[in-house]
Amino acid sequence: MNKALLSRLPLSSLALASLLAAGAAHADNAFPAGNYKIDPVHSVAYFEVGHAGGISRFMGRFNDMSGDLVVGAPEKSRIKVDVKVDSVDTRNEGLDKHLKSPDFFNAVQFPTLSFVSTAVTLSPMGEGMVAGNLTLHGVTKPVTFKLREVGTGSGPKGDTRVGYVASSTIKRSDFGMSYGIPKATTDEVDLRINIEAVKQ
Amino acid sequence: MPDSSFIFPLLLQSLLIPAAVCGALLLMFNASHRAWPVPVAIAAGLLASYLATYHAQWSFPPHQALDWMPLVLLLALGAIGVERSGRPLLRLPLALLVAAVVAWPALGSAGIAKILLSIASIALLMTACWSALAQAAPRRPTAPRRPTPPLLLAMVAGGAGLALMIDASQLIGQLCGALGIAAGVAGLLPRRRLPGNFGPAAAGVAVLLLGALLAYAHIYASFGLGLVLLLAAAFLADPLMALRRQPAAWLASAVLAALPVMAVVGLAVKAMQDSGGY
Repeated sequence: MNKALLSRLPLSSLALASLLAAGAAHADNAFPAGNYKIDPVHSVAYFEVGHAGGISRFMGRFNDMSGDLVVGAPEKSRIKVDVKVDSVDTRNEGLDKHLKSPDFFNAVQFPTLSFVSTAVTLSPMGEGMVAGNLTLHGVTKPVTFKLREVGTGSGPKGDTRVGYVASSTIKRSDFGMSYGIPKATTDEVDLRINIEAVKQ
Repeated sequence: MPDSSFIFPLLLQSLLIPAAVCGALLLMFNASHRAWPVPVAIAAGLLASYLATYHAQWSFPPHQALDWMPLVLLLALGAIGVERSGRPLLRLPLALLVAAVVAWPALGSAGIAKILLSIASIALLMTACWSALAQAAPRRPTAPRRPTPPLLLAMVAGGAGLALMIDASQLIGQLCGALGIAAGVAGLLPRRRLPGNFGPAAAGVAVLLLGALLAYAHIYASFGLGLVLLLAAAFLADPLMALRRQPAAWLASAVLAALPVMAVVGLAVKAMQDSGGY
């Protein structure tokens, strides 16, 4: 296209063309279909809450995560994630101990936080949603995560890897974790799961 | 300056409510000549505190371990029947039942062997402490009052509550504190103000409830077994003083019992400081 022609095109047409080009580029780098296992070393789950009635945002993480992915057509795609509640890590031993107690997660009675997808939708731009059932504190509720494809490529051993980020906001009281609302921490909890998975 | 929006609910749930409920029931039941009103009033004081503290989380049917607390309270009242029967051997089976209700929700994650061991050791400890305290308590409602049993109970429960609030579970700590308040009101206030005597039945109910709360703390909130044993050791104060073959002075027993309780609180403070506090 020459410059004269480009300058006469409406802005909306240029924007649409850019999007289509980016989508095509993303499609060229499509995530290889297949079964994947979550890499526990390079995957992590975070939570973020308002502390002390919302004075500040406080973040913690779970260090022990496992699960499986099926990557492919939307109707065939699946995500299953299991997180060990005992691996909660706020960089403070005393707070970790308190979070594992019956005041909050009750890690002895409910050792695992898990998510199993029921539906996955992804646009050509690699963004979409994953709906499923989240089990936390022994309570299972439907939750929808925003899903974003991060990238795909070969790992250090030549294995095929894919990366995703899933995020959502839940209310901990929906899962029976009502202690200290709102003075200790807020009811709303932001969850973010960074996933790297290895093709099997 | 501590935040009043945090302190006031704490005082209300763990001090005012159990004290008011326990005291009101003692007056209502006119406990002067009967053994059962005092243990019932103590249990009711703890139940009131439990409902005030835990109502937002409680569910029926029970979902998490602490949801079973009302059943634990009912079972603990079985101590009245055990003492009335005059068969102290029944203390252990009742203690086993209470320990089982506390421990069984952890069966899935802890495994059957560990749970059975926990139930057995908790029950044996509760039975030993119940027997020690019952030995020191006056048998008849109209007998002269001895302040030692309720004082030891209030001290151990209060110290446990403080240690738990500092280092393990604030919720269970609040309930321990409430139990200490109820035991203190039932056993220490002057008889002309509040009738009733802290007898073996009251000792049994209070020890079973305290044992259940410490079992919750140990199994679900990582409260060390060593700390539980130190608190239990405080109940040996009165029998140890009695070995001196003179009437155990309540003050001497209280001072002796205070040593392990203060050690537990001190260890909890140290653990909090070591972790940097939050």
